[in-house]
Amino acid sequence: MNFAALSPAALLGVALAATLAVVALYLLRRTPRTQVVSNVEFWRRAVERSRPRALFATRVPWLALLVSLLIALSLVGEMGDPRVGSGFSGTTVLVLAADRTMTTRDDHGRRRLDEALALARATVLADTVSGQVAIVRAGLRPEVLVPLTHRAADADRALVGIEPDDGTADLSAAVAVARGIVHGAHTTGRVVVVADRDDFARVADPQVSVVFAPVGTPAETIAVTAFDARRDPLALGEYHVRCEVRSYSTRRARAHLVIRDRDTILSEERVTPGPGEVTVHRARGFSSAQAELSARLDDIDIEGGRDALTGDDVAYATVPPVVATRVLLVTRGNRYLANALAANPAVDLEIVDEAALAARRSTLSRYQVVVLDRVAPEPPLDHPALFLFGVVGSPALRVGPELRAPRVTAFAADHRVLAGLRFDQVQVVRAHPLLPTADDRVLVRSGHDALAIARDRDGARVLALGFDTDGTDLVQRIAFPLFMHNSLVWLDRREREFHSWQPPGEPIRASGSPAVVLTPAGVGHEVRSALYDTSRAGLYHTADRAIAVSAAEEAGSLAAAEGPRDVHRSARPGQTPVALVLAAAILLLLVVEWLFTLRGRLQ
Amino acid sequence: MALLDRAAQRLLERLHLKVRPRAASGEAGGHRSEARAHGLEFAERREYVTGDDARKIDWQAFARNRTLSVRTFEEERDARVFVLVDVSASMSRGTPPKLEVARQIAASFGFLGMNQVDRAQVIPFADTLERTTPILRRRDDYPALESFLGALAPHGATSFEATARTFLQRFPGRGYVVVVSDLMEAADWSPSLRSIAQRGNQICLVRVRCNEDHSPSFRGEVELQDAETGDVLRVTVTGALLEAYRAEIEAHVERTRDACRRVGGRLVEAPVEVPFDQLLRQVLAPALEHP
Repeated sequence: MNFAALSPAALLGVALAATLAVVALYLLRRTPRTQVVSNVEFWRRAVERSRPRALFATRVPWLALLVSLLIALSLVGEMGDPRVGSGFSGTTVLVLAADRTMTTRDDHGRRRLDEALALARATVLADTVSGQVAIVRAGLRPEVLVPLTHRAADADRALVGIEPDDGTADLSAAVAVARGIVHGAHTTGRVVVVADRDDFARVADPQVSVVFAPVGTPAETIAVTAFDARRDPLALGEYHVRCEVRSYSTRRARAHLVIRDRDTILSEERVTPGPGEVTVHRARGFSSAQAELSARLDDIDIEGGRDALTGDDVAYATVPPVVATRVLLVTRGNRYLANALAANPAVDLEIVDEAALAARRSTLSRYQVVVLDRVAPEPPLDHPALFLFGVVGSPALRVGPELRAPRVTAFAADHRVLAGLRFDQVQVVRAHPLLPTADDRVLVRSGHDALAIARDRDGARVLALGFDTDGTDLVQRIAFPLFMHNSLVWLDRREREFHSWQPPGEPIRASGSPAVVLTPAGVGHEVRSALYDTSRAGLYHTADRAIAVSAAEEAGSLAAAEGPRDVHRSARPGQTPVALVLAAAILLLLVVEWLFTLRGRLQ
Repeated sequence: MALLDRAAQRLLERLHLKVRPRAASGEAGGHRSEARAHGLEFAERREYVTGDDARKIDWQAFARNRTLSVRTFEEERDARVFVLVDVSASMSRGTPPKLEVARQIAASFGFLGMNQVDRAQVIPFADTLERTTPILRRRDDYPALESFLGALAPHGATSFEATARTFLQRFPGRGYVVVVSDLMEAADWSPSLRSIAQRGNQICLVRVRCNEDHSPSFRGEVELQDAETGDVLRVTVTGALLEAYRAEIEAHVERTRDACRRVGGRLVEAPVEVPFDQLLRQVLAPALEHP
């Protein structure tokens, strides 16, 4: 037997207090008050006449005290929430999914999270009778809600007020944490995953069994699965918005899609995706300031059904403000570079030759990026963003002997500089291979030779090409302006601004210390460097910019996973609650006491 | 405040205290007496016995029946009214206090006695007789009666047996004896009543009662304290005990009522909760008729 609500010491304390109270009340009740009467003799005779005959009847006050004590102690025991039975006798670690799809509601309006909490509570109540339980919340990051405990009350308290995150739970990480807890307990144990999906990593572990307890029923929803925006590089101030709406329903659906920049409606249209269909919607906006975008599905109507998940009906994105990058091009004359840079409306270009560079050394900090075209100034420039074409060897950046017609064999497509570009068809006539250091990132490679590298060291970034514009057809390709644009973005450290949104859980960095970050709910948080609690989707604001935290993504099927429900259901459903039995017993005892004392049958 | 207001006095003036002949005293007055031969109203004819006055022999009857008989006449005499008022400590109980109502009842009977040119005396008692009023004969004596009654204060324990014994010693004559009491003495009152009646007294017992005595409402753990003796009894008052107590009281009252009835008297209930004018009309007035 175990008590869920109170510890044994607390229970003992309450029982003692209740006993004292009952005894005090009894003594108070038994303390007679003086009543003057005309003649006591009649009373004495009446007492003689009504004296009870049964032996136990003469002990009614004591019986009443015992009954009162029994009632009080029963109530105290019930307060302690006694648990009788047997659950898992070892260590149980509950992994409770708390992510966006757990807000999906069933036909009765009940969330999957509520069902999961009920299941978790039942498991806790059953397993704490003869074992110990810990709870891990599987949100964007695993979080141990309760370390191992034998007391159901602790676990119960921890389960109060749990709200799901707006992102996708990392179930695998949470299961790994849970497994670690079981191992640390040095007992037999199991991990019970209460979730609406079972896409966590399965690890063969003889010591720890993992049981999946599915929650939720199949559901339908219409979701914004992608929402992005970026500026038009050819039209200053304009930006393009792309919104993808997907139906996770087997029936036809209708909805009202509204895309806004703050309060300004950019697009408003009816969307009618068929079963499983994806529709893409575009909009354009114009603003040189930062745009704060939202896409929202309203008035969703699924034929014969209902939209079970409302969290995926909205998505957020931002568009960075138009800020010119000041670029200094040092060249003996290069029309490709000059034109490619000048065509970018976000570039404020200045061109000088090598001789004029000496006069500008003291004012180099005015420029965000310095582009050196086949020049090697002495002494080397001290600038945080250098873009080097046709690198000439130097102690800081050494080069190898010239290569003739090196073929591009590999390129780093995942680097921001090469985002959206392919270099495998680029022809290079001649180049000097670069000799990278350990922390340099090789962007373009020809066999073992590095043709382009990116260096990010000590707060300074260098992008170096081992070939110049005369020795490649890159400059003649249509993607060259984009390559230049990407390179400037990376060198200027503005690549983050070009992310129109970030997923929940990713920290928001703020300049200044301390800085204030406003959450979507309008609550200000003073932070040192970053706000880490970004589990809610919406628009966050720092002093100088807005950040969109959005969960728009492929939500996956909302159908509940099928699996064995081998987790103990609540011990209560279907059984008569102990409280009800006790209440009935107490009521019966009170009636008996009333009959015995007030009706005067015995005294 | 006067014990009897004008309305009460007017009512009492219309009432008449009817005293049985046996209870009338030896002095001539307005009540019939068992004393024969000197009155004017024929009473009965009885057989002549030696020693009878030869002048009272009914010769006409002798002529008819050939037996000597004498004619007797009723003689009208004053009735002596004794009002015994219980002033024991238990009379302080009730709302209003029982003694307050007892004073008014005693005043009423005293008034009646004076109004009919009887001789009235009010005698307080507790465990024995206390100082008595002088003999009250005229209406002019009423203020003295009121002041006497107003000075009474509850005290001591009740002993009707001792009271009756003392009364019979101090007042050997016959009369109309009114006992105003709450009967809250557990001893049997029958012998005392009987001994008073055997002296030729007519008895009217007025029981002044209050709810506290008759049907108390307190319950639970109680330490009962006797108002007269100070005795203490600790009890748990339950419904059953209350019923038993009421039965005890009823039995005591019924026993006393029977004793009264057996000696030709009557017992009248006078609840203190009833307003006095109503008490006088509905409760006491019938008691003033001849039983």
